[in-house]
Amino acid sequence: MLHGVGITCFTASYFIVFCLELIQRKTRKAFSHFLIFVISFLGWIAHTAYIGHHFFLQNDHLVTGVSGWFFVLGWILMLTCILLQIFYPKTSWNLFLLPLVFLTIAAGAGTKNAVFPEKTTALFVRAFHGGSLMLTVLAMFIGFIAGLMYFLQLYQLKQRKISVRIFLPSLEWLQQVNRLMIRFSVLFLGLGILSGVYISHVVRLTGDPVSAFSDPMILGALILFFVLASALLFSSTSFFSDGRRVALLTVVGFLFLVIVLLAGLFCSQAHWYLMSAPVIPADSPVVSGKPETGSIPTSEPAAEQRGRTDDSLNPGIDSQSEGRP
Amino acid sequence: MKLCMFGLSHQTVPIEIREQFSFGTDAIIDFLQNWNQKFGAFETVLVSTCNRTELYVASAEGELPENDQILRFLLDQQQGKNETAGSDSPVPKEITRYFRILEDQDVVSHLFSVISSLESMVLGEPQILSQIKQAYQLAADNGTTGPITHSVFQSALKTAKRIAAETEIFHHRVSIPSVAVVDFALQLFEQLTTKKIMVLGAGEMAEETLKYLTDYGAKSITVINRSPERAQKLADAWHGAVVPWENRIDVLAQADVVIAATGAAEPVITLNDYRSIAGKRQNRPLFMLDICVPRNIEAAIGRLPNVYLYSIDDLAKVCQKNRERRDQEIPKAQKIIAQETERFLQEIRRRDTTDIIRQLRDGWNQIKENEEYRLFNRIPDCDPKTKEEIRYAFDRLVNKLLHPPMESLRDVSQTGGSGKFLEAVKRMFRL
Repeated sequence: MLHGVGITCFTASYFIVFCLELIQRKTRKAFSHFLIFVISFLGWIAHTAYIGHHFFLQNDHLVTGVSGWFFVLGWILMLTCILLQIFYPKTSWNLFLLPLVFLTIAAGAGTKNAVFPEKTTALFVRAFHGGSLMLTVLAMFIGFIAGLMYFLQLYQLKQRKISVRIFLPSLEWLQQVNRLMIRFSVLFLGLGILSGVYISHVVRLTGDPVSAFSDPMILGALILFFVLASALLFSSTSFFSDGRRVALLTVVGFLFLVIVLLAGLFCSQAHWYLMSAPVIPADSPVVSGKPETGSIPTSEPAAEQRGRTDDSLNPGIDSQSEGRP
Repeated sequence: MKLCMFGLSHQTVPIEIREQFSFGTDAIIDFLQNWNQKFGAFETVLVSTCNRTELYVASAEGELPENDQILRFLLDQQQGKNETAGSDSPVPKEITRYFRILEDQDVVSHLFSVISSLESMVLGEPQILSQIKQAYQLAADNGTTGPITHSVFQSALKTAKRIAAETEIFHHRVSIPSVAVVDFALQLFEQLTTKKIMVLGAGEMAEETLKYLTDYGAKSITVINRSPERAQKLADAWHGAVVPWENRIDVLAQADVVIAATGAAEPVITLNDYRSIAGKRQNRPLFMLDICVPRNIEAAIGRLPNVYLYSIDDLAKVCQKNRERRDQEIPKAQKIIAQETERFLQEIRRRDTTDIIRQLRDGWNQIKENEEYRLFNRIPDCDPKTKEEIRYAFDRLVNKLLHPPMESLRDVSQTGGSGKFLEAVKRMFRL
């Protein structure tokens, strides 16, 4: 039954929630609050089913696959949105967070599903690497949104026009969240880079003599890490007022997110050990879990498919070593 | 059911008259006890607030006392003449002309409007709900309530809750201090418990704003006033500290919230004052509330980063907008009141007609059973199957005869105008 759950199901639910959220800014009915919550929760359940079926049951490269990585990121973002709605029901979270959820879904649907060398590192290490980077982006998303909300609130307070339609948290809270999330982001990025260096090191041991630091992804991530860490340190100096501090962190966060999304969309093969690995499009039957005939796959063909996927997606340590000088 | 209301309110009656008919809690208890002695058969609830005094009188069956009798009793009670016998002299016309007298359906919709604050001086003020609850409770405690007042006051509470949930009448704040604290200060600071509050001046506005700030958790309060005695008095009332007027700029360096409410003719905090301590503040945000005319804080300070300065005009504009937003909700509230009034009246009519239908059916069934008994005695060798057929035919006959009046009764309970009709049915069938 789960194979029938497609991207359209949960994206449509989220879109309805977004539209209802816009409409209910004018009506503010308790029922529409409840309806929005129920539809967003149902959408999230469909999202869960989609990820579960297409990435866990059909393939086991959930975190390490770039397409799945974006879908899971969107899933966690939506969960965060639902939890925020429960704990801060007055705030218009859906208006701010749903566009980012749509972005992750679009990125997930449009990304080729490159995967990491499975045979060379433990699942834990790969999951840790992918998870750290995911938390980096998630924290950055929330920090960035908190920054945007901060400026909207700042504008309202300075212009003495507090909107009764879009309720925002206090300036103090938004500033704290913005800073905390950027800190988390730097921390998780550091962990992601360390685990990435380790994976690269292991791959090198299996036959490739190239240094981990010549990997463009690792180098790029290191540069981002230093830029983020410097911005964070710089913003802590007394030169910055609260507003300037949030502005700096939000702008840096925005640039970081743009780079990450572009890297995910266009450079998912930039790891040196993936450069010559075969790529499976996100909408291929293997990645999306859709059997070519349209029928529900039995466990055996699925296993066969999985086996085929593993073979073709495993970087192909051999092909790498063959392909590189 | 008979229901009437005698009331005077701020809308039509000057304060000099209203205060003559104002009842405190003890006076209401005396009134209710005396009512029990004089008009014990009738239900009553007396609501007395600053803006209105209203006496609700109800009777489940039969007529209410004459209006003049009730007004005379009210007047006697108000004048402290606790004579349960009461005087029979008519109430002077100069008094009666102030009273608004409503009956039946008008009483219900009026009470629903009053409890929903639609009749209040400040639309959406929440106190009226608790005042009416309290008035009803007093009446219940003194045994002057009954099924009608119980139903109508319960429905009124339900209506008020529905209006609160479905409209924005109670949502927007309309007083300057509440707007300052909730709409602005709490949009800047997450909580006020750790914030340092500096109060310049010791007048009413300062105190009113302090009340809201402490309601939302403010604890660290420093009062600064040219007159140390008044400062001390205000500080004592709110567990704050007093600092001499000359040290106000030093306190400003530490403050998170400043309330300026002095009677000074020129600014008591200037841009230069602020600049002199800006370094010490380490870019912490500062919320400044200038609720005086002329202004106490130089307006240029508000343009600095991290300073959020609001004058009384800024707040008054928000209050005005909020009032307009509340006003826009009036039609919605009135629609709910109309719906709830109709629902209440239908419920009352349904109760009346149900009782008549039951009596009617019981009476006719009794006749049917008597006739069956008589008939079966006359034909003792009637076999059971025939008896069953006869019983069935009698049942059908009674049901068919009862059907038109019952339909009419049900229609009446839905559409209203049941009083005279029910009376006629009762008389026609001797119920």
